[in-house]
Parts: sequence; structure tokens; C-alpha cells
Amino acid sequence: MSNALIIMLCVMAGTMLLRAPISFGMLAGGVAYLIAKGQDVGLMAEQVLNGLYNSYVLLAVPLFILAASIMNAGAISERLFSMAIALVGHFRGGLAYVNVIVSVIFSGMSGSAIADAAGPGLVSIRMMTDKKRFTPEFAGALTACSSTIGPIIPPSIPMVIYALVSGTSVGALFLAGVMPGFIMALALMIGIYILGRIHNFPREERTALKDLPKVVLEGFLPMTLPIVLLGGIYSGVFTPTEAAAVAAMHAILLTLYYRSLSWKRLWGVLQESLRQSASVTLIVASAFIMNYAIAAEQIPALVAQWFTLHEFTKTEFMLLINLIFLVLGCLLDTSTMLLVLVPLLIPAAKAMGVDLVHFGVVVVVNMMIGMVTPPFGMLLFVINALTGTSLKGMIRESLPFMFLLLCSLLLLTLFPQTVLWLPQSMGYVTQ
Amino acid sequence: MFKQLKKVADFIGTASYGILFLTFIYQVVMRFVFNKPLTWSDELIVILYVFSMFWAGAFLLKEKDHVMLDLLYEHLPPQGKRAFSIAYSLLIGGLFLYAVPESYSYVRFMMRENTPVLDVPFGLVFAPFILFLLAISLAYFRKLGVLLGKNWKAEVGAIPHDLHNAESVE
Repeated sequence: MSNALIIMLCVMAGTMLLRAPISFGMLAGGVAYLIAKGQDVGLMAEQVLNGLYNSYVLLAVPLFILAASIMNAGAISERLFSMAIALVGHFRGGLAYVNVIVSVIFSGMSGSAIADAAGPGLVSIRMMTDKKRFTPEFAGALTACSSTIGPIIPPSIPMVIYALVSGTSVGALFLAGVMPGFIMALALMIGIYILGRIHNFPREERTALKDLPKVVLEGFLPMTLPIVLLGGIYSGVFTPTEAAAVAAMHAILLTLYYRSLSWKRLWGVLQESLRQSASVTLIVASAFIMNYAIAAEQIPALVAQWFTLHEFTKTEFMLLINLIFLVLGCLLDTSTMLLVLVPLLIPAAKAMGVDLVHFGVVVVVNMMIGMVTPPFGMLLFVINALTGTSLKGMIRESLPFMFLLLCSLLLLTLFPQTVLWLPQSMGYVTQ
Repeated sequence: MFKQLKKVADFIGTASYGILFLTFIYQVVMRFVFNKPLTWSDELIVILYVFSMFWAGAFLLKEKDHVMLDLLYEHLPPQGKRAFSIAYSLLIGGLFLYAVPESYSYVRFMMRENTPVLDVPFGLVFAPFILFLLAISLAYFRKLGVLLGKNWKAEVGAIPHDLHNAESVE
């Protein structure tokens, strides 16, 4: 490790701890590295600009953000609720199941956990706390946990970024997320079942049979989105990146049909999505210069060497990876881990013979769990900001669900087939 | 005057993002419905992407729109927050400003090279990056000015966790 690299890491970590924006910290670190190396600082502009210009797949990110914003602004997800209530509302703890089911469906339309929590999640919390059915803490905790499914079931923004840094196929990653997403949903529902028995959760009235067709039809239109999206990708009609644009268009058409969004509001949504997209993209772009420095110093090769020297088995390696990501997930945000840590570990994963699609899904599940773990749990912050529910209470209520999510993570880690079965049956071959 | 400029900058950013999106749709429709794949659309999309992201970074994003870790910062007394803010404003403002001349010479050099299909000089596509570096370093020097002045308390006011600083890749 050269002194220049150490200076870069100090500037980066230092500015981040001082609370500078993460993207600026990375860029500043890159500049410091080039100065210390005595290289042309223009190299930073070259790396960042060409890196971004050549990352076509990354374009899916702003478009999925746009799609999710339109769906939330147009209240499309709200139409899923009456259908979900008709299906499972009459069970004990009905609305808690509804929360998970709507999350699963919304996951098939959006690729972001934050969008899930802020959109359908918020609606769900309001319903669950209405007439004191559930405590706000429980509703908030469950919403935070069920939102983690958002980026596991395709589409998925973190998986697009993982595809970029690992060179794996977005399509294979998307397929690989389907089963794990359902496993996580099932785990949460088992939790609701058990807690429901203990605390005697309330039931909803059964929806009358004659109302059923209308309710199902209402929820059916939004549900065509995941079908169009996944069908389009796997039949080869459009690429995952184009699918993101189609999803946004589909959402616009739905809001036009429901008349739930005016043109003026649409412009506002566009502007807001641009802001969100730019803040994500700037982090990714800044990571190009940092990863240039890390690669120039051959750090990933050293990491790989370390893992092979210690003769870890594949399983031990994956368990270690889980541990690293779970601990760091408490402290860091997803983009930093994806863009800094993952590129360091990919050569090691390759050397250990781990399938990179399996690795990617395990890593993303880890990071999503990290979004609920304090002190830096973004999903908890979002729910806290939107509803004012106390963080402490939510953390306490989330413990049983976190335990179940960790069990699902262990299952996915130890049995790669749970992840790889679907992509392999569609023709994916481990490289 | 400043407000007008800001409005224009907002419009340029949002419009290029909107056109990016519409081009995507047009491309899918042309290929899928009319079976006429376009040659220029992918390039236009990437150009607009690079352009709009750094444009937004320069003119549309406020500091609170960015992803920040306030693990330590949150627990500090006002004077500590002030010290933190001064330190990182200096570091980032300084290093960004230092990077401007050589970045500019790279971008100017790229004026000679054009994109393959649309013949747009790369220098133009990349130009917002220079504006971005300049805008950010200016913003931090302005912030530094406030922090060192009498009104510093306004600058370190608690920024609540809201949706604006929660937009990461999640």
C-alpha cells in the first residue's frame, strides 16, 4: 500500500466522518491521491467522465427511480391494498400480512427499498395504526423489514450497480432475486403468525363475495406492470435498462387512466427524480476514480491472495462475507459498500470458486438488512421522518423480524441452489 | 436575476432528463412496434445522462440532497458541528478548486474528439463536470464564509433525516 493510497483513504474516510457528502469525499480523496502520486489531476476528470459515459447499464437507475416516484405520486400502489385485504385480511393480524404482500407486489415494480417504505409502506402504517389495531412501533418496524424485499425481487437498483462492478448479467441477477425475495416474505409472515398468536392480533372483516370481482380488478391493473417488465426482459423484447423506461411509461399511463397526476405535478416528479438520480449517480461516478486508485495499487489481488492463503472453504468464505457486511451495514450506506467494498472482494470470490450471481444476491440481502440495523439504518430513518415514530421503539419491535430475515440470509448463503435455481433453469451458466 | 438563472438551470436539467426518458420510449417503440431499430438513440441517451447528472450536481442539488453519514455529527454540540463543517468545507472546497484547471484542460482537449454517430464534441458533453467542480467549491467557500462569520449558527442547524438525504441506491 503506497502512501498516496493511505492519503486517499484518510481524506475519504475523514470527510465522510465529518459529514461531508459521500460523493464529494470520494472525489476529494481521488484528487488527493493524484496530487500525492504527482500525477495529472485531469486524470480524475477522465476516469469519472469516461467511466460514466461507458456505463450504459447504469441508466436503469435514474429510470427506476422515476418509475417509483411516479407510482408513489400517482398513488398506484394504494390500489393494491383492497385486493390484498380481500385475500388475507380475515386472518389473525390480517393487515400485517397485507403489509408484506403489498411489499412483495410493489417489489416487482420498483427497485428501491426507500421507495417501498415511503410509498406503500406509509399507507400500510396508517392502516395498521388506525383504530389502534397495532402500535405505531410495530407497524413501523414491520414496514422497515418488509421494505427490504424491494430490491431483492426484480427490478433492483442495487443489483444493477452490482452488475456494473462485477460484470455479471443484470438479467441473471434479477432472476436470482425472485426466490430469495419470496423466502424473506415467507419468513416475515411466519413471524406475524407467531406474534399474532401471542398478542392476539386483530382480524379484518371478510370481504363480501359479491365485491370480490371489483376489488380484484382494481388491483389487477397495477399488477400488469411486473408482468410487462419481467416478461419484456426475459422474452428479449427489451433490455433491463429499457425495461426501466417502459416501467416509468407504464406508470405514467396508469396515472393518466386513474387521473391521479396532473401534468404540472408530473414535472415536479421529474425534477424530484432527477435530484435523487443525480445524488446516486454522483456517488457511482466518484467511485470510478477511487476504484482506479485501488486497482492501480493492486489491492483486490492482495485481498484475494489473503483469502486463498488462509485456506477458507467456500462456505467459510461466504459466512465471513456475511459477517463483514452485517457489521459494516450498521455503519455505512449501501452505495459505499457496493462501490468500495464489493470490487475489493470480487476477485477473492472468483478465486474461491463462488458463483458471482450468488455472491451478488447474498451481498445485496446483507445490505438490505443493514438498512434496518442501527445506528445507521436508513429505512428506520425514513419511517421516523415520515411518521415520527420513535426509533428506539421500532428497533425493539423489529428484533423478531430481523432474526427471521437473518435466518433466511443463512439459508440463501448455505444453499446456493435457492438463489441459482431459477436463473439456471432459464439458461444461466456459472462462469 | 439570480432566481431567474436558477429557474433556467432547473429547466435545462429537468428537460434533458425528460428527453432522455422519452428517447428511451421512442427507441423501444420504434424497434418493437415498427421493427426499425434506431442508430442514434443510445448515444443521445448516454450524452444526456452524463450531461444532466453533472448539471444537476452543479445547480439543482442542495447539500441536504446528498447522502451523508451523520453518526458523529449528530451528537456534537453546536461548536463541534461548526468545527466539523469548517474542516470538511475547507478540504472539499480546496481540493475541488485545485482540480479545476487540469480538469478543464482535459475537457478542452476532448473538444477535438466527437461522438461516433451524432458528432457531438465530447468536450461539450463533459463540460458540466467543470461547472460542477466550480459550483461545489464556490458553495463550500461561501459556507466557510458563513461559518467563520457571526451568523454561523444558521449553518449548523440540525438537518433532520428526511427523504431528501435518504436517496441512496437502496
